[in-house]
Amino acid sequence: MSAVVIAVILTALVFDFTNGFHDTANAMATSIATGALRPRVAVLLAGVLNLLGAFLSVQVALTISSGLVEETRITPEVIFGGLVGAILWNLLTWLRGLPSSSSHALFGGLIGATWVFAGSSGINVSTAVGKVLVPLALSPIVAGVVAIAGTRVAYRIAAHADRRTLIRGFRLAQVVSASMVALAHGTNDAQKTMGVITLTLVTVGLLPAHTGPPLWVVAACGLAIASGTASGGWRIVRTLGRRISDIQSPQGFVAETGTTAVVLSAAHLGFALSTTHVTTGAILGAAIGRHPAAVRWGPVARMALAWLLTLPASAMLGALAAWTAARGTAGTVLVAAVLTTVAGIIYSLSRRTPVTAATVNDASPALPVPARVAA
Amino acid sequence: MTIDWTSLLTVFAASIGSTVAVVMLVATAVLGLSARTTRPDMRTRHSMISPTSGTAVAAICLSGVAMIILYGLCEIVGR
Repeated sequence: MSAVVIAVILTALVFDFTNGFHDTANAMATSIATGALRPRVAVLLAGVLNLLGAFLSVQVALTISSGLVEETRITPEVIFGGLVGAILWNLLTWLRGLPSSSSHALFGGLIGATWVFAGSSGINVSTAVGKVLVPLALSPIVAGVVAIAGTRVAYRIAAHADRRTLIRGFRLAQVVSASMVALAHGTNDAQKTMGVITLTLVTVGLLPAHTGPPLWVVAACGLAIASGTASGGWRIVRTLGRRISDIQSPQGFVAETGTTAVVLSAAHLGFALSTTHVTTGAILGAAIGRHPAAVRWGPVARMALAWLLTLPASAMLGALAAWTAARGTAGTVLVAAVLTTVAGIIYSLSRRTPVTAATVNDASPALPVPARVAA
Repeated sequence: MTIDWTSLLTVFAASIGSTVAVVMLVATAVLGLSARTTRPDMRTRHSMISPTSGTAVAAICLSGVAMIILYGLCEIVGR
């Protein structure tokens, strides 16, 4: 195994780590916001379940490694460039507390890197659109509709429940539903990095084409994403849990259940969904389902803008990194140095306005009440 | 360019069906358990069930939820 391949694998695992802390919020934001779980416990639980989830399926990994780009037309340097683009975009959006899609960033980075190296014919447009882009675009809408329906059902049935039982019951249910999201996240997102590493091994002939990830790849990716998740991406947790709407425990439960259902059923059919888009769509749907006026549209608009920019921005960053890395060893080293420097700067900037487990809930969670009372 | 609309519709149908089913069962279980804490003189027409019946309803509903979750997990692991 060459030094470049090892560098690509390490970079892929770094991306997986950023994917983990960027997406901690997907599983745990609403549980932390409603007080169903303490922040530290929530992220540790999510990390463990991410690790378990990574071992459940390889369908999405196969979609990434066999079909998104022409593996015979690219080199490990191209994949390295794509990963660098994705990592940089993940770090920038994390700094701004924006729950953008790590999956979009990864696909954008890979597509941009492949485009600059092999031209547009190096990209399998049919697979990219059919298996990746269309599901990515539709998933927040589907999750939103699912959550609206679920929220209306929950509040209608539980409208006459005892208030304390309602709070306690749905908070306990949230522990289970949030755990299921974490499991689904591990299943769905860890596979994307597995797919990238497998793609790299295929391009250098260490694995035959159209093969699944080996066990060591599955284990390494599971550990990387679990470590990232357990470190807690508090900025995005605060955005999703507190800034879209004042989420109550029945809504949190519905949003998490809807997210799990969409992500797991899509992973079952090999669609590479963005867990972030699904979660955000579900939280928005749960907010609309209880009371549309309670939604704060400003943060939603900023998120939507970040979503629109993610694919082109990470594609441009990936293209630039791949073009530089493809110049030779000096280019690869330069890209690695730039990545390390920019990551350090972003981390330093984040320390100026730190968000921690202690400050992630900057207001006490509202008590859940039936819709007709809350309205 | 081929978009597998059938699979996408399957994802939507499976998601909304399983979510609404799980939410209905959990909400009904919460309603059933409310009978254990609601005083007889405070019962509304929707909670006119005894604590024992409420507990039984909750147990049945939560068993249903557990079965749905296990089915989902088995489907994924089985691939």
